[in-house]
Amino acid sequence: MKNIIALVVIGLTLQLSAEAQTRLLDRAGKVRFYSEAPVENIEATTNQALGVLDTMTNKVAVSILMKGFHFEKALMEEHFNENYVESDKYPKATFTGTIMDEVDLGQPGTVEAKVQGEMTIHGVTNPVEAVIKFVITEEKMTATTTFMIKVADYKIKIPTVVVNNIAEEVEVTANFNF
Amino acid sequence: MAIGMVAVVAISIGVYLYNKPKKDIARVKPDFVLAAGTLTEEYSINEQKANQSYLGKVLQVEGTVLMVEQAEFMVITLEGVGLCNVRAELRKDFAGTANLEGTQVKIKGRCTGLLLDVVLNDCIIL
Repeated sequence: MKNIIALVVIGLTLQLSAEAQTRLLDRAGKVRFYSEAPVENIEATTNQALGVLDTMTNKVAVSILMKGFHFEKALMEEHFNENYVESDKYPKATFTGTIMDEVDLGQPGTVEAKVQGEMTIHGVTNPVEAVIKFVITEEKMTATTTFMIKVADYKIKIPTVVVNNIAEEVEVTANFNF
Repeated sequence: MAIGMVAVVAISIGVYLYNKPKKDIARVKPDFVLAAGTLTEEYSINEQKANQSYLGKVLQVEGTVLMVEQAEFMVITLEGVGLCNVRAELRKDFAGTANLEGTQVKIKGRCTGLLLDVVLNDCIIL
């Protein structure tokens, strides 16, 4: 009887540790967005993104704190938070998706894979497709992606006065270290 | 002439606003003074409710330093409850944080919300 219990305990422990290893996490992922417009280019960066990658199921989840973005000018940061993304009401942007291509993320090397999922910004959800580049070594893995999003798709209203200051499409770059 | 004056004043105000510096957190009175344990407990119980109180506010948080990370910004992790700690991202120009691990510190910063940890921005050590 004792042996059976011991076996069950060992089995459960092995299963738990196997599960723990497939779920990779970065608490300080970097996200940058860049808007190129006739009057000015605007760039904002944050290290306040949580990235989770499950190498067993190929599921990806990202959560970004909107108030964590740093801008060159205080006024830009104020407008971004108060007028555009309304970060008091919608403090997070999220992405959940699945890696569509067959990839072996356990193998050292560089590999690109398509990810499909849903992005929520400003309380509005849209389908998103992007390519993630994985650089895998024995010690760690980095995941990088760049894609464009349309500001209007997320019901972010840009007043006509500043229409030449903010691009209709913004480039988003994300970088995670697992 | 008068119109010219008005235009000059208006443009000056515009340029000032466009370039106005970020509020110096060192000079701002904290909206809340609390322990890292209390803050993380409130966020663990109800994130939405905690956000209503703390999101975007200046907090002065006291706690034990679990970890110091040096990246683009120095990040200090204060011990919270369970798996939820306080991650304080220090202001870029803030220096002088040797051997803080295990010590009790007071940190002032702006709360940006909850990921796995409660995150504070633009922090200074008091």
